[in-house]
Amino acid sequence: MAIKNNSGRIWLALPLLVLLIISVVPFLWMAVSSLKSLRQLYSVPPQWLPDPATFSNYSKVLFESNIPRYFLNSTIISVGSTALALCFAIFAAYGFARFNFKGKVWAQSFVLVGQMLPTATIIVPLYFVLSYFKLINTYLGLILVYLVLTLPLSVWMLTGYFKSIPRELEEAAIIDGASRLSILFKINLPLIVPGIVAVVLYSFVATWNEFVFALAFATDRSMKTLPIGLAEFSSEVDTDWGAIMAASFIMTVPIALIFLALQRLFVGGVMSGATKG
Amino acid sequence: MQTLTRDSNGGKMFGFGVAGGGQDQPGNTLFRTLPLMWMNGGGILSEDNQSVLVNSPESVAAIEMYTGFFKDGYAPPSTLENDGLALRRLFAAENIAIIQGSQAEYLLIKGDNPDLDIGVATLPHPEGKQPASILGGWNWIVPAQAPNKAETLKFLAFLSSPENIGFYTNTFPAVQSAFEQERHQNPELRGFRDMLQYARPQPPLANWSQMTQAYFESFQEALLGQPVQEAMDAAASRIQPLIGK
Amino acid sequence: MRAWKFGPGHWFILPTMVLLCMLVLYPVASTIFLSFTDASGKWVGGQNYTETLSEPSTKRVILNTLYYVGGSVVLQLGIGVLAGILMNQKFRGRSVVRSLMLIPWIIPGIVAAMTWAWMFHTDYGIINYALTSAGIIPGPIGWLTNPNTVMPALIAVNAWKMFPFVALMVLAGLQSVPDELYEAARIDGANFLHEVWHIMLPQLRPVLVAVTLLLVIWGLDGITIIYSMTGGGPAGRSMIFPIQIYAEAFEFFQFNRAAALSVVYFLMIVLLIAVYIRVFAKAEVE
Repeated sequence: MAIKNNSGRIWLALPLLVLLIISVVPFLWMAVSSLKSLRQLYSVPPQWLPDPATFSNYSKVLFESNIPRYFLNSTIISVGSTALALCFAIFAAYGFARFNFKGKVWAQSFVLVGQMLPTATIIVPLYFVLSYFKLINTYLGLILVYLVLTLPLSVWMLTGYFKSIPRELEEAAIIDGASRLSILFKINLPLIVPGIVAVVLYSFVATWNEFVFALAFATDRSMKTLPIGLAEFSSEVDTDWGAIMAASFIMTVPIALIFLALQRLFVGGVMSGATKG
Repeated sequence: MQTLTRDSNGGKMFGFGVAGGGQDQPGNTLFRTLPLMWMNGGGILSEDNQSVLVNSPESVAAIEMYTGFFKDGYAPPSTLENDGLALRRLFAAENIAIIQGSQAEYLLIKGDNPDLDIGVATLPHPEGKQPASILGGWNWIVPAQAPNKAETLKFLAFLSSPENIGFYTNTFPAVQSAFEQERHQNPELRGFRDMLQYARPQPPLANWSQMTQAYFESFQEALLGQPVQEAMDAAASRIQPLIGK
Repeated sequence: MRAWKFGPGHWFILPTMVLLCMLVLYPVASTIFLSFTDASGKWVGGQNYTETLSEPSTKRVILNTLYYVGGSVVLQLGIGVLAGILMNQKFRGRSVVRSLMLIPWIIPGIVAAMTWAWMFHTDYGIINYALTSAGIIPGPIGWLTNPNTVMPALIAVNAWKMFPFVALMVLAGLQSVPDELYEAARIDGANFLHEVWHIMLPQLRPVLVAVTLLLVIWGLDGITIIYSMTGGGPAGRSMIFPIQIYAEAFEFFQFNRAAALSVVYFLMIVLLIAVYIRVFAKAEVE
């Protein structure tokens, strides 16, 4: 559906421009600030552009800080948590979508409840759980804990996508004698690849940017993640804004690239299941 | 304190930096206002930590002077979002003429802006009364349940020997004899060393952070326009039930 | 009672249920237990509840929370729907614009909060500088220090952060609108606004219902933005419930009071969600 006439174009272009500016300007400010020296960051009145631009913040972040190690940690933890959430969620969502069974409403409500817990409340008890299983400061520990964040929403989203597949497709296969599992893998999953992409992206972003759990459960320098690394530039007496901006940039770029690359799949994925989500 | 009024050319340069908000609170405001109250004979709690002093005439007078800098226009309009760090930045950017700070900050400012012509003065005190300063710093804690307790204590004893503590600290050593070391003879830091003899620590109470939070919120209300006595009375009523808990 | 037969449905959901039980049930149970005891483990009944709820600041905290979440969700939906509809139009460079508009959502929360706090700063912030240079305002405004502007400023940041998510969902939902509907309306003489009101919005209803629920849940848990920008200040003017819980637990170390507050807050959330589902989503949530 397109707006054909020219005066209509103005109505399209203007709000679009405004929205674009609003979305992008803070990010640009962040990028520009990462190229300023410390003194220029705090001038009153503020300066728009660095003069001259300096890469010292980036070299500090890349070569003198722990950010590269944190980058590795974040990657491992986000990938691991996303993959694990996907595995669990696919089965659970299929169960909710295709079967009616006793306690189904309770189970679904329980999943929803998991989504609603205030973060501050569950940190301390979760710390006890992790510490009991000796999982503090381990990759597995953080991956498991992040499931609390990603699993409920993934199950909820995937349930909707599964429901949008017509039952007839499966029924034909059942009559032919196929097992439920093979139906799941051979028929359903290929059809909701876009939905899976959506869930993967959401989980990845959520765990990549997550701060509070990582702060509580990864106290050793070798295990910390990127958001914590960001906070490390803020010491007791100083906040190295240039370094923080540079590190933020480094932290945001991978996700932006992933989004750009998978954008078409993502939008398509969100499409198919959205009406039932 | 009355002699500390500055004239400032409004607009670009302000006379005094007031810590009214920001991230490192209530600590930053506490460190800057508690000595003022102490000097005048007030404080948040009495010396024995048994009664509330924050709404006494002496304390209120001190707060009135401090918040007066903002109300009378000597402190920048951003005061309510400025913590110690923001004030230091504004000072280094030559936007504020006077700030309260520690010796670590002095060195950082010189690093930020080496050409800045700055001096250090001790905190002025009211006529006929004692100066006061606040003792900050860090403590070593060994939990009772910790493994390797004996080794830890040995290590701490090593660290707190005069040579080591004088060497490793990035402010002043906690041991008096360590002051004789070379690095602590910096004449620029003289003012800070002189204030040390009047320094008092904060009371080691379990709910001190709740009390100071109550004080800080009332302090901000005063900055927002509430009469200081009223604000401090409100703080006192919140702090009173916390005593002895 | 019938015997509980373990059907295929049960098997499918079993792994997830077991995991969530471990990660959810224990914290919930332990929180409830903590809320009824004091620091030494002694049972004190409802004391934590009466103490925390009778604090004079509690009423303001609740009102602030409702204001913040309500305002944020309204703006997130409004801007998001607008953006989604615009994104649905065909124009050159559409995929680039789509990607760029996702930026606020992708940026880590803490980064966004710090950057905005910096931009909002009364003296060295770029917003005041731009507005005063352009002559739009006479002098600097204390966005985060003036009690009248602090909540709107925070709501604006929250709206900025989440509207791309809404836009994405709306865009997806609009894909399933058949072209025939637009053509039929066009023949009947409808203009663009008619199309929006009579075709797009009704089709978007299920999506919007689900999205609003998510926004409310997330909004009620949103600590990062306000905590990093104002810490709840000035003088508690922007303090919201989840931050109060956090402060009780990790700044004052009053875990029992924090637990009591958590239970109360959680019940409030559940009530809100239940009412919402009953009113708007009975058909959607089976």
